[in-house]
Amino acid sequence: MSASGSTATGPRTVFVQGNEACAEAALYAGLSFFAGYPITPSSEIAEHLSRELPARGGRFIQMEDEISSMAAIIGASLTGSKVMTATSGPGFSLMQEALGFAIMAEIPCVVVDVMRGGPSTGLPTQGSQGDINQVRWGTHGDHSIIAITASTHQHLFEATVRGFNLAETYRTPVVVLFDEMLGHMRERLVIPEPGELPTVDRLRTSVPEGVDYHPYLTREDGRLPMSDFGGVHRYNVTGLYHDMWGFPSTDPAIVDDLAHHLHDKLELRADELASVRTYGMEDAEVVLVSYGSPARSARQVVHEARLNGQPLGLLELETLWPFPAGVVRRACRSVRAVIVVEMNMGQMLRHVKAAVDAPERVFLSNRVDGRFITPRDIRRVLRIVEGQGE
Amino acid sequence: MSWKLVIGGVGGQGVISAGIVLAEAAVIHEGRYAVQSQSYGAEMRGGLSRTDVTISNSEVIYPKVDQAHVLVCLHRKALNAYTGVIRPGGLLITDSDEAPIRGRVDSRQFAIPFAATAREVSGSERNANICMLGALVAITRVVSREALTAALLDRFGTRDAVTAALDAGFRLGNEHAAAVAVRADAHEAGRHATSARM
Amino acid sequence: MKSIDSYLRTRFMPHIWCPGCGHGTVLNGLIRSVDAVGLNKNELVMVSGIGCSARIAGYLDFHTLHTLHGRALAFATGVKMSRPDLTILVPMGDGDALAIGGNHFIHAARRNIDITVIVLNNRIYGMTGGQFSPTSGCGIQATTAPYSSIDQPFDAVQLASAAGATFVARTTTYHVNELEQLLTRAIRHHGFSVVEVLSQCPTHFGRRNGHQETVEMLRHFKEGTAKVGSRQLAEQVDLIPRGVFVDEERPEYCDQYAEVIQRAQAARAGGAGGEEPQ
Repeated sequence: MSASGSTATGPRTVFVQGNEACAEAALYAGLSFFAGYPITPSSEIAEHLSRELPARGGRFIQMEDEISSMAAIIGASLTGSKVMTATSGPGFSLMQEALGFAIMAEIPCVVVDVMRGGPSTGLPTQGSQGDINQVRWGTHGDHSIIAITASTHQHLFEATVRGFNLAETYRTPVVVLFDEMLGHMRERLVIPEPGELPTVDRLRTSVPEGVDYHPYLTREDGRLPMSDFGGVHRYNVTGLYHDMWGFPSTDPAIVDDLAHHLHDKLELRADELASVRTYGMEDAEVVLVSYGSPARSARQVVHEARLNGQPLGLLELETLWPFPAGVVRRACRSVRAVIVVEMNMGQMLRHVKAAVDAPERVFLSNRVDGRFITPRDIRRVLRIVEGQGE
Repeated sequence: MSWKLVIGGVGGQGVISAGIVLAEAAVIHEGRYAVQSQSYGAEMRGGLSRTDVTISNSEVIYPKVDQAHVLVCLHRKALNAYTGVIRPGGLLITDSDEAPIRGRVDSRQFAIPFAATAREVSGSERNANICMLGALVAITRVVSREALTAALLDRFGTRDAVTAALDAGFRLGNEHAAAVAVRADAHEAGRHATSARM
Repeated sequence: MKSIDSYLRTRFMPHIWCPGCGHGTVLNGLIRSVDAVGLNKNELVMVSGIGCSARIAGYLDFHTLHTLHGRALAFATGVKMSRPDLTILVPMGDGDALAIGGNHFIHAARRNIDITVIVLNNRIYGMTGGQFSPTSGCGIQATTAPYSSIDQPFDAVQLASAAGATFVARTTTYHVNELEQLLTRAIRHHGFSVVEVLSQCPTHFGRRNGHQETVEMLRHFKEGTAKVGSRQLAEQVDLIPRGVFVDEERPEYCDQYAEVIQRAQAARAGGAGGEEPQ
């Protein structure tokens, strides 16, 4: 990594891969433990952290697979560490069971999925956005999860830091999603000074030794203060439905409460969790909805259309789950058409259609051949939607 | 002003690191914007190696290079594979020994013996990529000579062989560029004209 | 010693195990060994997977993490790497340790990370109703082997030894004093330690395989095993050996990682002893 300026603090301009930007953001957010297993196109994250974590007194371990990587970060999080793992589709599939455990046991952790073409081994070295719905529904049972993404290294840095903050605030796994394109390409990144971006620390209980601590008794503000393993409060953590002490329970009232809590703590905050960027939306008559690296192609189309006086806008989603339905509905309320730009068979399209008032005016511009979607691809759909033919 | 460049060759020629150094010169040493990407997988069969670089004074939005202002080829395989990416009237820079131009390519062309020169001045063909960067910068001024030199020093440290290859590249580039001044503004204007027809 | 109760979450008693099950005996031996080592409960983390054996965690007043089937050692590795000062105990069943968790078992052993594993081997999947396990062996009746099993068994001791565990022992629920002594040695051992405890499942193994009474199963442990190095074992090769099979010193994983941290920080400081990786 080449950098201008040699001070350890202060903003640094670097020229890095997206994977390195994500890893640097994790360190900025306070990452102290990473477990992972090599997989293209995410391996640079593990490589970067294997070098940087020990230099800062943190710990890195290469596990025997993605199942154990996910399990190890949950164990480490319980001791009070901020934790992360990184993978791609096949590894993300293997992580689903332990991801569900982290949801059930409410363990803060960050999982990075650098998407490649799927299903199965798919296209290991080419980008895709095929994991969007897997992130939401990959693990079994009713649940909710936070997933965020970004389209530039600077935004990815901010999103990753925010991912750690959300994981701590809501005691939940947060999935940071981007794709091979962003993960491997290099661009300018200004690493902010410490304190410039907010970071949320682990909320620990103030209950003193000898007083009954309830690890799963929600405070009035909705938060659940934690106590580190190795500390003075000994409690149980399980993937079974459990009471406020963490002990297994099949009491219907307890099960019902927990099922609703796990769902509602995120789904009822969808508006609050929504993060979007807008380009040319103020008077847009046609709106592109996109997320991740394809949003750059969409933004290029908007940029050129605006130079041309065309009322085209871009709504770029950075929060994918919980789906920001309210934001999408309001943004698309009075437009002639909406085109969802994504690199899959329309995984977000259905959610946009479900959110807006006029689903018949929502169209898809996609690409699933492993090549990056181009402005020309998007303009072709735009012309058809506008009734101008191909 | 935005430059889109493709550098192609085969594995071991240092194509990727050349692309990174060029982009770093712009970002780290000139405070400008750049995106560098490289192809993996199927596109890389036959040992081909390619890097795409966009350098701009403002944020680079679309990160790929579709119609390159400049194509550099250090090997004939790359020349065969990539001539399609060059935009009409673009610039083609090749190693005159390793990638001789045959047939018609709609571009302004510079054939320079990078590998032979690197061997002669630095004792190793491995520095052909550095020699090429010197010539590329002398011809196009895509970044300043000072920025390129600084970026190379960051990456390789002060080494006589590196400096010799770079200086030879600058000299060769200047000799060839004396004939043709290339300005990216014209290409940029052409790009907007294209989009206006959308 | 302190009372057994002081280590238990007594409000969860009586436990869920069947009458005659050997797992309570292992729990008892484990508490005695923890007491013998003199550990503070706040320094103890028990990580378990899924199965009858995994329920031990819920009954002990330690920091307890009841995880996924087979994955306990992976969770435990995260806890230990983050807090090397804590003592980590992992009770596992034979299916948990050697089937679904076999990969984690051999890799934890390979790293020689300081974790103590107790493999409660009853040769059957009890909690799910009596399916054959990787230690059942051939000729066993099980709910998924109605015509008797044809699968060759794993030997947990040989597997752990070959994979690199630095303390490996075996005992049974009949040999309760030996159980306590071996667990005490295993916990004190600095490195990856495995104690296989042959435990009886009268409900699902015994009933289907000719042992109508728990006592018969315990008698089998008494008469079918012999101490490593004993004349009895030398003379009767079909006996199952008990005792310590491996007890060696090898660099422990967290200790080695502490050295990695030192090397990384020395390199960053530009001092001697470190070399910045390329």
